[in-house]
Amino acid sequence: MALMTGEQYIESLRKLDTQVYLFGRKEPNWVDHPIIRPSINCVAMTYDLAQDPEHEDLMTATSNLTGRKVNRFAHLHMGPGDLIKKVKMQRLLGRKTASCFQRCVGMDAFNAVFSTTYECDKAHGTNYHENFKNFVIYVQDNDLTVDGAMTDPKGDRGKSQGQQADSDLFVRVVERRPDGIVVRGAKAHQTGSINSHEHLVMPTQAVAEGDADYAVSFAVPSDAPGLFMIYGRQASDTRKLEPGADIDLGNKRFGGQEALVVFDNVFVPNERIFMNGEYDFAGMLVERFAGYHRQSYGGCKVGVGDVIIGAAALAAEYNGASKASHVKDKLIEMTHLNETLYSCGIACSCEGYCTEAGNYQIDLLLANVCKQNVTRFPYEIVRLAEDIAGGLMVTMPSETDFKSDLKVPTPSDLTVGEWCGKFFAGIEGVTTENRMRILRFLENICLGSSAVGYRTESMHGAGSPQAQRIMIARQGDIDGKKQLAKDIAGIKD
Amino acid sequence: MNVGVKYCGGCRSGYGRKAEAARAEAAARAACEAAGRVSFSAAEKGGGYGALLVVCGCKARCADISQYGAGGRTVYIDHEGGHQEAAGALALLAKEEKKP
Ligand SMILES: Cc1cc2nc3c(=O)[nH]c(=O)nc-3n(C[C@H](O)[C@H](O)[C@H](O)COP(=O)(O)OP(=O)(O)OC[C@H]3O[C@@H](n4cnc5c(N)ncnc54)[C@H](O)[C@@H]3O)c2cc1C
Repeated sequence: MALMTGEQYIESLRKLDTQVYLFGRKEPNWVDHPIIRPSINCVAMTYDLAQDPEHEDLMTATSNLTGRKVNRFAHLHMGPGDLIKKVKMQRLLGRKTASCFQRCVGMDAFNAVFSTTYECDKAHGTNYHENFKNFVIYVQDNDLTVDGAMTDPKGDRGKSQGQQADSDLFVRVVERRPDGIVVRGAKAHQTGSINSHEHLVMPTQAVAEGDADYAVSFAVPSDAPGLFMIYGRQASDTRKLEPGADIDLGNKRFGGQEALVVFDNVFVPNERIFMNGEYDFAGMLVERFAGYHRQSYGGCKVGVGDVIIGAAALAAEYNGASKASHVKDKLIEMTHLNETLYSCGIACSCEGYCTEAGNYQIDLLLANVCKQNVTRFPYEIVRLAEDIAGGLMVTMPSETDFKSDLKVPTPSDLTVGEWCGKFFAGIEGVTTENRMRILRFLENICLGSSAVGYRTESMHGAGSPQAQRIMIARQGDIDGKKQLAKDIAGIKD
Repeated sequence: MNVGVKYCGGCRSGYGRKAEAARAEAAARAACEAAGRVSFSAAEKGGGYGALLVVCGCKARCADISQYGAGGRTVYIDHEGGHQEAAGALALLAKEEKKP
């Protein structure tokens, strides 16, 4: 099948019987729901750009499995060049949507499961790699979006999987049949899960021998019997329900999405199983997925950062402050922070290495450094953006007020809209509406619904900061560095 | 001469690549009137073009042209205003192609 257009992707979602719950109700027409639709538009962009000759060099690749043209989001990275293009593609999409476009988790999961199943088969004589290759070909040929589902609800963080009061707090195998397995549990914070055709499930952390049932990886369609999703709400999300809402949304067309995905005894056929009790490979899978995903943030957040920097510069311009040296310096600092993230994303890609399975893994140390910076720099970038924007981004009346023709009974006899237009004007030659638009954009990304993706996802997505510090400690080669110091200082033990 | 137009992915292009390519096409057509006809189309893999016009967003020129086959007759645009130079280079190639 040819690559889908954005429109075809949206239509393909309608054909699924995905079970979605939102605000305590089952939502049958979730595709057109105003709260959900911007996140669908965002994924649709990953399809539309692949059709565009101006972007297909990044957006598409040639499958190493079939030789056919595929969307890069369904591609296995076959060299550092592919890893670099992945980061560039993510930056491009961040620039086009200023949101989380959701399709990265699946791509990162493919690459991690591909290499891990190969090594698992070698050690255990299993057949997971072949299963997985077939799954990847199916996804590539049908140009599907896949949710990379790793994070379990985890309950008491001080306890392992098997020690939890409720055994469902981590996804596990509850039944093994000749034709497959039955799984139970949930995955939390799932980016784009509702907008995905398939779910690719992985363990959330290393698994000990006694907890082998939690070492499970598989793929199921998003409308598999027993699978349902409860939508995660975002700051100011109900603004999207306001009639005619536009400016107040900040980013009307695009947005991110997370949901709780519940597996209430879901059957997985044998050919869709990629790990089933091989607890000694759970840690490898987690580490590899996290590595790729930590690289990803050196692309996507940078693209969004580009839009924020542009918005801050416009806010300063509309405010008449763009020539102030401190404003210029703040824009320089934002750029420096943003490009540092990009440098990390590119660096860990350049240093990528070939796995036994033949696809390429990023450099783990550099990817973890990348993500550690991502847990900090976007916060500084939005702090500077808020500084430049001024307080109006959070105190401005609604767009309904700006558009209101209700007369205020005072001597001037002006409408509410006219009063707003008068007092919220910036420099001459720029409409108050345009000033409002840019300030609402900044509000949305700094502390509205898009802050979910730009701020908190930067903090916790692909693992909280401490998870990277543990990896940095492991990869940092302190002993080797001690030896360097001894050699230079002339210390002979 | 048949020119295949290939774009890089445009991850952070600092200028409008499409507009720049259109200007290069127009300028090359004008310059080639004497040298012979020149036509442009979106490059496809294995296209066997007389020349490839590669429009890149920056100096990294990372567009993958390995499978587009123009026998080394590749002309790049990588900045705003690059169309003039590109058109001149395309005209030269068209002239060469016309030689018996
Ligand atoms: C917007 C967003 C999108 C996401 N998208 C996806 C997705 O698509 N797919 C996916 O699988 N996951 C996704 N995640 C999940 C993400 O990987 C987790 O949020 C992350 O791993 C942290 O887990 P947690 O949220 O449960 O926080 P917690 O694990 O509760 O962490 C909270 C704090 O407690 C600390 N902590 C936790 N456990 C321990 C411990 N045992 N010892 C010491 N300290 C501890 C942490 O270091 C952290 O400081 C997403 C998260 C967000 C916010």
